[in-house]
Amino acid sequence: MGHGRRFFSSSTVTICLTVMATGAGIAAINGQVGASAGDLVPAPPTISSSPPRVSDASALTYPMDRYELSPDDQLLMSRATIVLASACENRFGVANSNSGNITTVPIDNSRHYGIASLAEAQVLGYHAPAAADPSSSSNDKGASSAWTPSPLEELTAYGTGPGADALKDRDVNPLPNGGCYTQAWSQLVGPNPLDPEVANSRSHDASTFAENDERVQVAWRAWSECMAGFGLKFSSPWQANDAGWKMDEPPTTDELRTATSDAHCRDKTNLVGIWYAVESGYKNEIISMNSQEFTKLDAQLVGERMRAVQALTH
Amino acid sequence: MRSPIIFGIAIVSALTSIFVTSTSANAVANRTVGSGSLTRVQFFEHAGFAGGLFKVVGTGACTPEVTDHDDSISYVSDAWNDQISSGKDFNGCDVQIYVNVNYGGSFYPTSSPHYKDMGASWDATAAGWNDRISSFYVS
Repeated sequence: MGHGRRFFSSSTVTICLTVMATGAGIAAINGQVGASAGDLVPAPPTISSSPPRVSDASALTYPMDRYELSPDDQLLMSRATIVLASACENRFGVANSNSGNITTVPIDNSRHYGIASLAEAQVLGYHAPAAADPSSSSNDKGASSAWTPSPLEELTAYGTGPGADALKDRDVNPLPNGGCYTQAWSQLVGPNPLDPEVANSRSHDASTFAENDERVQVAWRAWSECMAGFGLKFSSPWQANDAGWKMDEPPTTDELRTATSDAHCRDKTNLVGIWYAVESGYKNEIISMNSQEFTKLDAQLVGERMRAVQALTH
Repeated sequence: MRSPIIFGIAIVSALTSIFVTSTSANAVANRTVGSGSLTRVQFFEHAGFAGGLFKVVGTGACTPEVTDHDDSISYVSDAWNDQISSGKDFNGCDVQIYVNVNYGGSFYPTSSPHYKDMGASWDATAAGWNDRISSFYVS
């Protein structure tokens, strides 16, 4: 048949790629501050040979999102904090004026890999849509909805500023360390709370493993070649994203052209679909490998919600 | 003569080093500072709110008073140092950013009251602060 000599069997290549992906992951983890999964390294996860395309990243969710406070949780916990803090402040003869008008912030993975939507890229370039952002109209300190406590209320609330040490409640107890809001939060999280950074750290490990996974790297290279076809030289999607576009000005023609090509190439190479599938796979593996830790995190959140509801109903 | 096992390990090791050197992809860890359920500040690794997220949370909203600090982040961490490219703030909070640790060196904004309301969208590149932030205050 005239075939050349085969140097490696397909299984040898697979083993090499697996070792390379794992080795790169180990190196990346070791190089990161706060990396935590170095004790156990997940095997490159199995993903579909053709992961679903992601052309709209606004609904992307990850296995570790459930360990974050949802907007409903944020509202619940905030209201409970105010109720508990008010009781504390009352003991110091201070009325709490906080209306609880807060901005909740959803878990937003829409830009986790940069742009994904061609339609959006054609109009906005690399600019993020801001109109739907809840903070756009409510953040000003001078807004009518803003909390404007008196100096004494602020002192009892957060315990910062001169005079905090001298404050005594009706039973001559000192102001709690960090003020009444810190005490209220401590009551909600309960004794010996887990470090919330645990989930962040584990999540980061998965992101790093994913970025260094050979399948993602192959997709990056394919994307780069596709971009070169448009006359654009970028070695990684982050280079294009961070090419110095002026986000405080309308997108330029150059930005729109680059972003449109970028989104086209992402779709053509299924870059985001592959990246998402690999990262989700690593996250699932890391959760399984640290199941006791994540079970505790789950229980922690359940306890916080329960104590918040109790604070609001008693 | 090297044994086949040692030779194999050497090849894999060489391939691994080539692979690591050629990619150098390192996502910056998501990081949450403070305690509480309210998001006060979000900083992002990349422009347009992309990539890793550095979040400051608190037990309540920020107050109008800007002579105090609701949060003081004297160092964003090794992983986040000189990495921030975009940001948002919430719940009445504004930021004052510094080029060095412990609030040293150049700061932004330079005009009184020295706090920036990032609102729904702040681009570090446009402000001349891309990949420069080492510490910051929230008020």
